Amino acid sequence: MLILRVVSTRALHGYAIAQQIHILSREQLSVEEGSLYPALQKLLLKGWLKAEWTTSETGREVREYRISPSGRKQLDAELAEYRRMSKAIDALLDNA
Amino acid sequence: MAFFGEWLRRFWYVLNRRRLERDLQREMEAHRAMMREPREFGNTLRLREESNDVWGWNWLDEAWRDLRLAARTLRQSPGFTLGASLVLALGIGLNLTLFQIYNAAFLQPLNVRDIETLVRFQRLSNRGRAANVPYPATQHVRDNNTVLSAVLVAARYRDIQWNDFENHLTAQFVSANWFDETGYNATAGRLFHETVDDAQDAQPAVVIKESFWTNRLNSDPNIVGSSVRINDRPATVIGILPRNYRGLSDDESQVFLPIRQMGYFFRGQTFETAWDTSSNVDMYGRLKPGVPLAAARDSLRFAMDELVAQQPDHFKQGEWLEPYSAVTRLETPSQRQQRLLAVTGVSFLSLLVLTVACANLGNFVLSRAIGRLRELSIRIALGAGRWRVMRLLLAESAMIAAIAATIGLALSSAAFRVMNAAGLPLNVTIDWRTILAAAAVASFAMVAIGLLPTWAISRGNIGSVIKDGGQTVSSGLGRTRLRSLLTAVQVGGSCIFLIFAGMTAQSLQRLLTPGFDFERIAVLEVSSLAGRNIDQNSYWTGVRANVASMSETEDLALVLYPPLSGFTSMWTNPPEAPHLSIWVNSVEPQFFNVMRVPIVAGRNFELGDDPQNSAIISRRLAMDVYGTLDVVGQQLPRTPWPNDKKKWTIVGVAEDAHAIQREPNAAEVYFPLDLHHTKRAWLIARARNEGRLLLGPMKEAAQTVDKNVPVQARLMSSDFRQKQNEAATLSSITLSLALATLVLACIGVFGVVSYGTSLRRKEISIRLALGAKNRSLIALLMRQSGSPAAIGVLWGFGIAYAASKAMEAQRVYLGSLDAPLLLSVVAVIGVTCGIAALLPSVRALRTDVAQTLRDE
Repeated sequence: MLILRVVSTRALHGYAIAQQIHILSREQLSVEEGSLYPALQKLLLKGWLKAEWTTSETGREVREYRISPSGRKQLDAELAEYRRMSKAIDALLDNA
Repeated sequence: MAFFGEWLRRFWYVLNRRRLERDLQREMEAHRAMMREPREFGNTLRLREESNDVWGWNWLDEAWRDLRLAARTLRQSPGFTLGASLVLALGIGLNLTLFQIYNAAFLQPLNVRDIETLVRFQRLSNRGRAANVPYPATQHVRDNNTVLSAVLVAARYRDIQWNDFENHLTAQFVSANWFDETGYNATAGRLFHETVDDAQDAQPAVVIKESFWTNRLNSDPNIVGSSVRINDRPATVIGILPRNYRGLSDDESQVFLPIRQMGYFFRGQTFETAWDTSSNVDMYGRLKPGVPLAAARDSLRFAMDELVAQQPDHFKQGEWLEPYSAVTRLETPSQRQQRLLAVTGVSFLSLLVLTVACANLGNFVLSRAIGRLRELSIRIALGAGRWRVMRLLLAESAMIAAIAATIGLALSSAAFRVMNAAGLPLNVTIDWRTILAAAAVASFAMVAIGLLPTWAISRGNIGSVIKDGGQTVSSGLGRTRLRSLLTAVQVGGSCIFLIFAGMTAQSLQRLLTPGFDFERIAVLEVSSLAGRNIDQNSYWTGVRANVASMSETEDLALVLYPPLSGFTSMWTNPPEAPHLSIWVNSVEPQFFNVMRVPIVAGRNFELGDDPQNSAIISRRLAMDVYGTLDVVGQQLPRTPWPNDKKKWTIVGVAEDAHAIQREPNAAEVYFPLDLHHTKRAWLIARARNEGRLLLGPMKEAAQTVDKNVPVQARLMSSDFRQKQNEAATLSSITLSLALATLVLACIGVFGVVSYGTSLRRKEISIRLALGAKNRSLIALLMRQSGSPAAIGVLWGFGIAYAASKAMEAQRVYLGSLDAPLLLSVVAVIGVTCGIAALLPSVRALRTDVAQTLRDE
């Protein structure tokens, strides 16, 4: 879900995805490379991401990942599920 | 849908695998380069492998690696690879050969058009069954039914003369719609058509099989349209039938003739009007669309009832025509049962050979794997993983199985080339079924031989193996009963084949000592006189007088069934000796002199003997039923048949003439031949010098009496040679199988004992060092193979006994499973397996005691 969310606004390469997750989570979350690449391959296999080679702003050749329509659907579903669970947990913690 | 898309992507990935792996590598390198601390990225290779693993294709790489490693390992031990492959190839080759015969004979559906609507009819009543129907009856049914769109008939004749060919051909007389209804077209020319060939006065036409055209007519390019002489009557060859023609039965007919022209080729034949069995044909029908079998049976009852009313002498009340579908190969239930028995027998033999080969190879591989325990344990200790080692062993088995399957296929096709060259009527080619069967057999073998060592390894304690070089673990494995079981299976398998080889040899032996003298005897075969306006008695009197007057004729006799002709008749088994099969024959008194069958008690028939009252029985029948040869004047049958007052008085006892029927418990009964009450007889004549000199003159002598009666003459010895060849072929096949399995069993015993001795090297050396005698050590070592061999012999005997009983129940006789045969088999197995056990034992004693003790 995290990877899908960070590539949902713009295409990013692997390093940038890891960086974005780290920064956007206010440095609370970090994705190890050992988890990132198998996860990216799995998302490619599922058809939720598309990958293409491009040149970065620094002139380096990088492989960027972009969310696919089915990936976006999956993200929406997962976000809705996450929010539902989060609300339920909040309600439990507040009222217990 | 998502699942389907995922598999498509997986498939796309495997097609572009190399490029995508390179992409991932580049991507990771770029990622590393962008990091402030590239070292934190970790092991790129491991990350790449984990990422690629997501796509699920890493097993391909692993399998390829395993296969390469297995190939390298096998290359390092060429002796083992070659030996193991050859042993398994023998098993697979034999299996494939049996499978292909089975496939050709039983699996392939009838190759005919619209198989669902084609049926065969047989006459059934509450009293019994008749496979054939008189020709006029088939035509009556054809014209008086509402359920059949066509009626097809066929009649096979074995005595067709083609031009001046020395040997007679087998021909099938078929209805003119035969080929249109079975769905065949000519390779050249045309086949019969109802519009052209369905008339007595149509142009005499003949269709030949392609195999006959190539083998016997040297592929004469001008054969179609040419004129030939069949039974001395001119006819035109109108077409060639394709090689793949199998028709409705796998018969060996080479020539096809229109059934309406039978009277032309057999002059004076009244085939179309004879209602008795002389005009019997095989009857088939094509059901109209949507008519089920039961409805056809019921509907045809009307036509049959009409036949009963019109021909009460030939059709009995309550008879019906039973249809058998072409989908079930036109078989009756009992034929299907026989086929199932044959299939079971073939499958059993086939599986047995393969089991023996696999057991052997399992032994081989197990020995080798145990020898490699230290190597394999080191691999495991280095982190290879137990499953990885097992995969390596399985990959080795797979390679051996693949090599063996290829050699097996080659062996099998070579065997068929030899069989085809020998003229066996087996049209077998290697097709997808064979390849599939080879793959199945090889996979079975691979699992069988690969699982054993894998299982053995999985039980081993790896730590102790590394410490003591495998001594403890391999000793433990060696003690398991597995190896003994494998040896018992092999010995048992070879025991079964040896017994069958012995039984077929007995059968051959019995044939070679027939109990009568068939040399210098000519046989005159005359087509049935029934349906012809001929007085049988005067016809035969004339023929007999003509043949007797020839100077070459020493003696002659008329007989109902000449020995070795294949025509026989059987009585029910007598209650006093239920094991006896009694074969009956009607003969003239001279028969015993012509055949050189001595009368051992009483007298021969005399001219005044009443055919309804006198009988001569064979020695076996006299001894088994009456317990003495002094039976003259006694009644036959000894115990009267229920509901039948018929009985005969025994006038004499003849010597056994068991080659009339080759089964072990055959006995004979002879009655005086009564020409007034038989439809057909044969003339047998003994020549003074050479039987061949009688053949031509005998035919002429018969044709002088009536030139319209078709006659054939042949030597009784040629019938004998044919039977001898069949028996010898069967005998040599079982003997080869027996020898092959015996060799396998010996290899197995050799393997067990060599393995045992190699495990006990230390013990042997200590015993030798302590002064043990060679003889007692050899006995100790050979004992290892004793009990498995004994168990093998016991189960082999058990199965062979059950199989021979099952065959006897189906009236298939090879020989008797008696004590001398069993003792011979035990002796053969004892000696061969003994030698196989002795060799490694003796070799073990030649070891250098000091060296061995130092090594260990």
